[in-house]
Amino acid sequence: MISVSNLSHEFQNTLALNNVSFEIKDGAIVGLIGPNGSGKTTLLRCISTLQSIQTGQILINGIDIQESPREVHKIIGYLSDNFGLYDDLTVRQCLEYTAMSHIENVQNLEEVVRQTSIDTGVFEFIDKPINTLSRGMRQRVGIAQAIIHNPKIVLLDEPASGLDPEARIALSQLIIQLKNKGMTLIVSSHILAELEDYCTEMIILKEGNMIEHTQLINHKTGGSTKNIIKLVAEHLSEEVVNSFVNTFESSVNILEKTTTEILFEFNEEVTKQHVLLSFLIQQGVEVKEIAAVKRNLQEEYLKTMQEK
Amino acid sequence: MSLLEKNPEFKKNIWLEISTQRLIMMPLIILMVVLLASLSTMGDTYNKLTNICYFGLVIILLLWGSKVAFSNIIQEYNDRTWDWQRMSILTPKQLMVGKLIGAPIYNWYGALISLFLVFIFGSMSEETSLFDLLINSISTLLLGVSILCVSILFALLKIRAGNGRDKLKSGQLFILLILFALFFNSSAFSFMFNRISFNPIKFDAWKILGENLFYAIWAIIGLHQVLRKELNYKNKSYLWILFLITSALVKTMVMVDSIGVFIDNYFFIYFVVLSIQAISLFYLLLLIEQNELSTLKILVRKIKEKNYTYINYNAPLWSLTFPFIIIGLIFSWILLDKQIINNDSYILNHFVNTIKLENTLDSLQSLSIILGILCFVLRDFLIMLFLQTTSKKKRIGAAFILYLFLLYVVFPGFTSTIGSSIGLQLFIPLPIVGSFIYPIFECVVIFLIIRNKFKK
Repeated sequence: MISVSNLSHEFQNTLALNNVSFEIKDGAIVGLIGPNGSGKTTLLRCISTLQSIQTGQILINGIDIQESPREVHKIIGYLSDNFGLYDDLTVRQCLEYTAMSHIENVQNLEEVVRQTSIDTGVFEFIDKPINTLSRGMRQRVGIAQAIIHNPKIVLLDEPASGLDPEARIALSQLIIQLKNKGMTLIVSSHILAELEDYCTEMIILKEGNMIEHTQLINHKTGGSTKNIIKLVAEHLSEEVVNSFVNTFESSVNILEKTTTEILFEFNEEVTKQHVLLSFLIQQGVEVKEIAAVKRNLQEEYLKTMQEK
Repeated sequence: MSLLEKNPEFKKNIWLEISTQRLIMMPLIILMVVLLASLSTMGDTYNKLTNICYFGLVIILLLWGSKVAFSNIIQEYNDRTWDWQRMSILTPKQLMVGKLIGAPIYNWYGALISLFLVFIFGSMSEETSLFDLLINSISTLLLGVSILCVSILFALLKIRAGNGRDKLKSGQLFILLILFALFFNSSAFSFMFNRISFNPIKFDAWKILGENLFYAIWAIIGLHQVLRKELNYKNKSYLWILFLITSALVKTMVMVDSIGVFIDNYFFIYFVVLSIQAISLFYLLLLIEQNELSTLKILVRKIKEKNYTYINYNAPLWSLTFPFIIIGLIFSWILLDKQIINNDSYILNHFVNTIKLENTLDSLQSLSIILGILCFVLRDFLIMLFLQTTSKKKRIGAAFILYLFLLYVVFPGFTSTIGSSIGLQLFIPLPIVGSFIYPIFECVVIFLIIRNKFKK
């Protein structure tokens, strides 16, 4: 659905994006991660057509955004880092304005505003001025504005920054709710623990380069069924490990190994671990521990950043 | 369907700008000023009240209105609400009405009240001609439209140069806008040309009306084009080029009294005006547009790739303006040289007086001064590029103005005080044969510094 190829963008004499390419399928929630200045916002702004493309191509639903940017506006919702709200308007006025300026020949304006405010949980504040709302509520109004035209793709730039824990949990639930409605989301954030709650994919950017695009394992919203298993033994000889790999060639992928530990992906049901255990015992390996490992997003991120 | 229903941008601005309290305050304040003025005036009170209300119209619409229109865009950018608008399905026309009428709607309201009072008091006054008042009022309203459009346009160009994240301050930018408006104001421009005494210029209301109408139309076209670009429509470059050509033509027609002027003189003045206009706009655009090295690099790459479509749609305006400096200067020199050869007294007398030559101006001297101007413009462009390589990117504009001030005011003043002719040639173009070598030398030095920095 979103295809980015060889995207480069230079700004203020710095290469903000360097030859970035990836594809995102329908219904994914992609966590866009990276340190400050890594190019996350520039990437989101390029996808949303707010930043012109200098080199490369972005296709959204097959539409080249350089050729038909106005067509892309109709299927994209974008929330910028400080939500883009008019402080002096009420929530209703903000949503009415956004609906009128994002939906062609809008019918039932009131109903559209009412339904979106209910979906995003701002209905009870609908006649309050924006400047009287908490940051969490402002962010929800921002998201309501971004989705009022029922876009297929929603881009959220640092939506969780500055929110209290309660508002963050509510945001996670809202994002999963949007995914369940069939939307594809790209969420940039620094708060990795939170992305873990809803992301199905992760893209890591560093100094404008995309250093990782991976499906997330064991995430809560479904996705890949790969399991990571950690095996600890008294001693693991090279021969035993090779024999283990050869025997389970189709279902085992070694990630890390030492003389006492191996970490591997097991592409079968986790309940079939006992087959592995039987094999190792037959080989005379003194198994101390064998268990499924849940590697969280933070670990994945740190590991990738260290490696690259 | 009413404008409110048709145009969400206009509707939003009404929500933001209009309240019952504000609606009452404006006429109340204007009437209080009128009342105080009527108590303190002698003679034809109605004439003075007409003038006071006219002054009120100028203040409310031209000064306050342009500040409101300008700040509105900067605030939208800083609050990121501009992003919503850019991604909306609003048309450039809807957005233009929203920004031009909607955002300063309170100022339009005040301006219309003032205008109403102008005609009420004008009709009561014995000294005031209602016809003159009508022409002047239309002229002022057109000027108001131009200035509001230019304010918005200026703000849009400025935010386009931003990175979409850092906030902009509207105060300093507005000062730059006022300087720009002064430059394009007929009287300021004519004052400058009166000083170099081509001909005594007499303005009449019709000329000003015509000029204001011309610039109002171009300001609206310009604003529409910039909004099109912001909304991701594709613009072609020819409108800017057409503006440069026709604006110089109108300026020439406004300035030159046709009696006793030969066709060559017209052409000469036209190309001088074209050069001055192109140089001034070039410097201004360098300050407000995206002018960083990467923009230039992309432009050069696209030229090499012969991607003229990209250039046509995306070339910064300064890059389109620069060729007109060259064209204007070359034709100015050709026509000046022709007059030197023909010993045409009309231009020569005035031109020689203007640049303070003792007796005469020969072909080589005129060529030197023209090349000198071109090289100094090029040097200043390289200075701007050099500033782009420094780390403090937020202060580049201020640093550029400071450099220009030092190079064109402080150093020449110092060198002329100590009587150094060569020193002076380093800083300003002079009609001395070979003097353009100095700015060329400066260009080479700055170019090498930039290249060195780039290599590092």
